[in-house]
Amino acid sequence: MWDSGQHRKRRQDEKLEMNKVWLAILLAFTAILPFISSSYMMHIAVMTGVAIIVAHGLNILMGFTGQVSLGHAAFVAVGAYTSAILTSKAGVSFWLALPLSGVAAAVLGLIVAGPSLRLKKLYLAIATLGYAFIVNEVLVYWESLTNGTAGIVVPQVSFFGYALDTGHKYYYLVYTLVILLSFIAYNLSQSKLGRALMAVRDSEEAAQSLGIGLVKYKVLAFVISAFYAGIAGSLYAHFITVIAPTSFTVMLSIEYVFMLVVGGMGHVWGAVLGAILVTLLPEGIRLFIRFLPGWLDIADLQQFVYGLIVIVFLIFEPDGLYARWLKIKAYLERFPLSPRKQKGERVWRRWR
Amino acid sequence: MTEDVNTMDFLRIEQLTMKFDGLIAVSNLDIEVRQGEIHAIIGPNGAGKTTVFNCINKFYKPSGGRIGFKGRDITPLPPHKVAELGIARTFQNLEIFPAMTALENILTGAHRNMNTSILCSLLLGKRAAEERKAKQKALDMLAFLGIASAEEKIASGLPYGFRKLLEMARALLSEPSLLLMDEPAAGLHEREKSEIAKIIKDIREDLGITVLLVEHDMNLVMDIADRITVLDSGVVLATGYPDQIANDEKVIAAYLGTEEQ
Repeated sequence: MWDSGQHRKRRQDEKLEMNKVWLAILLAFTAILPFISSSYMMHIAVMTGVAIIVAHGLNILMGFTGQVSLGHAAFVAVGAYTSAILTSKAGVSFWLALPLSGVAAAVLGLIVAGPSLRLKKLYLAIATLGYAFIVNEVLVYWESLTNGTAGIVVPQVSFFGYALDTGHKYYYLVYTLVILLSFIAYNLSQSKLGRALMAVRDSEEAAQSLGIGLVKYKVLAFVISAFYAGIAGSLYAHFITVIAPTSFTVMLSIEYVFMLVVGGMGHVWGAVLGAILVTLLPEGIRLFIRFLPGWLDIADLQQFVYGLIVIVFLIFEPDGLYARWLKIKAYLERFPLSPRKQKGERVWRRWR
Repeated sequence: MTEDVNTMDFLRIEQLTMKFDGLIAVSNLDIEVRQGEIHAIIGPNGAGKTTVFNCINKFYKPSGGRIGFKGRDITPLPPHKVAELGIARTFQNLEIFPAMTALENILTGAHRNMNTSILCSLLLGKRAAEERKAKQKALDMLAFLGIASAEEKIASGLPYGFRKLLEMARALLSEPSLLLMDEPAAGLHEREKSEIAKIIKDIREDLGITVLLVEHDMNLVMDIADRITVLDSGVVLATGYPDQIANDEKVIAAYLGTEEQ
């Protein structure tokens, strides 16, 4: 075969080198973004960071393990409220409340995972929707703890006496965690744990026949996923500084699922790209509408345009942005040659 | 039965019965598999061959009887515990992980031998020492089976023969002491069949793994099996060495029909 081991090894090494370059560019961009951004842009950037963390978590549960969740906003809510209550009512430091909000959400994940073990696909989706409603009801009616629909005012964060009171400052806190949690999600995808989760997704029977216990790994997926959402919830709460049950609706849960679909389910980079696109999309539409001539007034049609883009996306890019990126990269790598894929090569793993 | 735990007992199936509601799939089955042999289970369609496999690795909970492995009663264990004891299997209708790459598929086989903790998985990922070791083994296995070029390819896109080998490689990487193979030659043409026969022999000779297989192809079975158990309608018709089975009147009748009819 022309494709000798040595040759392949060298090609892989070259690819790894290129990946490192791309990563360095991305990190540099992340580091300098605040210096070239308005506070409005920083606000969006922070919200994007929060979304990336939730998307990573949901991706671990849905993309890797194949367990549908339509109630992920509930885990975010639990994280946000835990942090809010601990800091505003119990006087706990944010730096302790942050991990604790992850843990609180993870505990809910553990509780939710139990009944979910028997459910699959659509049934699981409906059950998770149910959990989300229950959590929302609890937030509304447990007024002594949550202030009900009035919501909670959350104190701002300070770092050794230095107040992180603007988007520019808070940005670095959020993106430190985004990078850390992305790194962990990436490690997971390439480890024994990640393969066990994917095995559960792809064939429960084969997974069991290799010593992978379904209960253990499904529960683990729920717990890790909820932990990510809890951390994101805490970051959200201390940035927005007022949270109420209406901040965590079913629409938000569905938006998280949409991030994975748009980005590329089951891929760490897919979660990142999807979170960025879905958070930026409404802003982009707003910006676009502002530049339209006055007589073409479609400001009221924002939701309509949003929905339209969603549908167009699903039709023309069902594998997500990450797949498109891989295709573009493959094209560039073989540029003078045919842009079509080599025989038998599948650039993309389609999630079912 | 006296509870004499004999280390010579490798796999001992005693009085195994499996009922699905009213239907009796297998009844009062006795099969003994000796360490180091290639043991074949044959029989017509619906004889209960795959049911026996599913009872051994606990996809089915037997309605009655006992299954002992290395002197230990494995009847009450869940499937993944049975796998942890060193019983691996392949499937009649290939159960590879379609969305994973060939390498990831095989690496998943190493699951039971890896001590990587969850924390280690999250913090180190593929840089963990065990991870590198397992990857090297997996790559060697791919090379051994002659499908090294498939390493990074998604399993669902591979040709049938590749996927069949992939599933086998995955089971082997778990370093089992007993390998259950459900119709390893199904869907292969003659040349591939003789290759599979050679691989199965190698698995026993070189890796020292005991093989229990279900197979329809009589030529293959006669070629590689040390002993054969014949099932018909859920009961054991005969057990013995290949030449005994080939000349057994009951077996011939079951396969070819009796001459009077």
